[in-house]
Amino acid sequence: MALIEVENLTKQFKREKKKPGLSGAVKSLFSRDYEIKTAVDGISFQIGKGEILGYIGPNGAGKSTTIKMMVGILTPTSGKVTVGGIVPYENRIENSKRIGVVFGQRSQLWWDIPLRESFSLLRYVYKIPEKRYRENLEHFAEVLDINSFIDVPVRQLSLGQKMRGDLCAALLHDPEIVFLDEPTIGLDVVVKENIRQFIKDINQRFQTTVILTTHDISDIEKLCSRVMVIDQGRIMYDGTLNHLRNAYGSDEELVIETDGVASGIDSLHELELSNIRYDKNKIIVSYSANCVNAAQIMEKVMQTCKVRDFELKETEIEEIIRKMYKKELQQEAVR
Amino acid sequence: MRLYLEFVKNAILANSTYRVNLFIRLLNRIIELFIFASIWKALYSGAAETTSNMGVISLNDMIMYSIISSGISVFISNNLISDISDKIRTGQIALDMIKPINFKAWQLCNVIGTNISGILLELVPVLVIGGLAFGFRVPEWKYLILFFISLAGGIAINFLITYILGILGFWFLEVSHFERLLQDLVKVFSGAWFPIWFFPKVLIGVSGYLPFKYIYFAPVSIYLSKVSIPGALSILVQQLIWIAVLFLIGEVLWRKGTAKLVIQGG
Repeated sequence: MALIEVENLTKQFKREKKKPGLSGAVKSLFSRDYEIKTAVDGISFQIGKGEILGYIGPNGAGKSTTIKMMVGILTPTSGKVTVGGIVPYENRIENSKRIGVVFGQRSQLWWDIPLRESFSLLRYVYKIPEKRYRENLEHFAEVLDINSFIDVPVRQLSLGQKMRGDLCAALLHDPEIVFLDEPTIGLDVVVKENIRQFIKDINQRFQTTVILTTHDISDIEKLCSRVMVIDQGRIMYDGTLNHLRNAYGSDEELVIETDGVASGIDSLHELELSNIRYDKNKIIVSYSANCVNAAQIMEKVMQTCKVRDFELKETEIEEIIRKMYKKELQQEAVR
Repeated sequence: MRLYLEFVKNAILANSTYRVNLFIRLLNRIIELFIFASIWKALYSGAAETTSNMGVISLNDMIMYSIISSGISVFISNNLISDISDKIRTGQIALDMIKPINFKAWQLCNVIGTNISGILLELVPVLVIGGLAFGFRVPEWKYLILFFISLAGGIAINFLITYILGILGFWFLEVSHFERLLQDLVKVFSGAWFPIWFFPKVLIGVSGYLPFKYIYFAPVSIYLSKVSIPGALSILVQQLIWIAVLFLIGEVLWRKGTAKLVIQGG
C-alpha cells in the first residue's frame, strides 16, 4: 500500500448565486439560489514514501482543496483518502502527528512571542524528545541561518524569515509527510535557494515525503521527481517533469534587441523555426526547444548584426496547462 | 499536562508585552466603577435601603456589588467570542486544527493566562481604589470559601458560553445580528452590573432557566451573604450541572462545526 492513496476523490461546494443590483439583494432576503461548484472531481492517485511531488495547476484548479482533504481539515463529498493507512479527517489528531504543513500565505507561528518560544511550544505539542529537538534546531540553524533571528518576535520578522521559521516549525517533529503550499511565494532568490536545498536535504536524509504546490516552475525543476497537473478539478497529467516539458512545454520565444533596425536575416531560415517577426530593432523568434536551441539562433543573428540585449521566454506553466487541456483528447496523460 | 502549563505561561507573556493596553483596561474599570456608584447613589436618592423582588438591598450592598463585580470580571471576562470567530472567518482555524492538540483546552489556557496577567495590574488596583473610595466589606469565612468556589464555577460557565458563541462562527460566516443578540442577552442576565434582585418578576423567572446568572450574580450574592448557606450550596450544585450541560453542548457543536467546515480558497 502506498503512503498516500486517493481514490475517486470529489469535493463540491454550495455557493450562493448572488443576483446583481438592488432588486437582487431584496430577492435574496426571501429566496436564495445555490449553485454547486465542483472543486475536485473524482481524482485518483498514489504517492510513495520518499517522493517529492510537485502538484501544480492554475489558480482555482483544486490544488489547495485536495491538500486540505489530505491534511484532514476538509471532508470530501465522496471518495476516499488514506494517509499512512488512516483517514485524515476522521483521525485528525493522529494524522497531525505524522505530518507537517506550511501554508505560504499564513503562518502557524505564534505572533507575539519570539520564534524560539514558538518552537518550544511545539516541542510540547508534539512531545519531541529533548535530544531530537536540540539536534533539529542545530540543523536548522546551520542550513537556514535561524539563529540570527530566533529571538525576535514573529510579527517583526521579514517574509523570508517567517517562511524559514514556518518551515522549521513544520519539520521540528520529524514528520513523515510534509505539505508545502506555495512555500517560496514572495521570497528573494537567495532564500528560495536555501529553502530548496533544505527540502532536498531532509528528503534525502530522512526519506521525508514532500508534496509541493507552487506556481514557480523552477521550484519544480530543482526539486521534483514527479509532477501532477490539476485543472478544473481533474488530473491532467501525472508523470515526470521532463516528459511534461517535452510533450507540452517546449515552445520558447527569443526576443533579440539589435543595434539599428532589424530586418530579414536569411540564415535564420536554415533553422526549423515556428515564426520570425521583426519589430523596429527587435527580432522575435518563436520555436520549439525540441528542434532548435537558443544558442543556435543567437549564433546566426550575431553573425549578421550587433546584439544589444536578449530575452528568453520559456513557456509558462499556465500556457502548458492551457495547451494540455486543449490537447486532452489527443494525448494520453499517463506516466 | 506540561503542554497546557506552557500555553498558560505563553499567554501571560504575550499579554505582558502590551502594557499600555493593561493600563487602559484598568482605567476603564475604575471609571466604570465610579459611574455605577454614582448611578446607584442617585437611584437610591438618599434612602439607605430599598425593597426588591428578592429582599432588602442596601445602598452599601449595591456599592460593594459594583466593586466585587468589577474585581472578579478580571478573571471572568474574556475575548474568546471575537478571537474564535475571527479564527474561523480568516481560516486561521485550519492551522490550529492541524496541530495534535485539544482546541478547547488550548483556548482555556489562553483565557486563564490572560486573566492571571491582570491580577497585579487590574484586580488589585480596583479593589484598593474601590475600597478606599467607598469602603470594603469582607464576609465571614464560610461565605468567603463558598464565594471562591462559586467564582471558579462562574469562570467555567462564562468560558463555556463564550466558547460556544465563538464556534457558532462555523455556521454564521458573516457577523450576524443573532450572535450579537445572544451576547447582549448574556450580559443582561449575567448580572454583571445590574443584579437580578431588581429584575421584574417575569424576568427573574426567565433567568431561573438560564445559566447566565451563575456567572456574576451568583458569586457576588454569595459574597454579600444575600443567600443562606444551604442556598449557596445549592447554587454550587446548579453551577456544576450547568457546566456539564454546557460542556456537552460545546463538544457536540465542535464536532458538527469541524465536520461542516468550509474554508475559503482553492
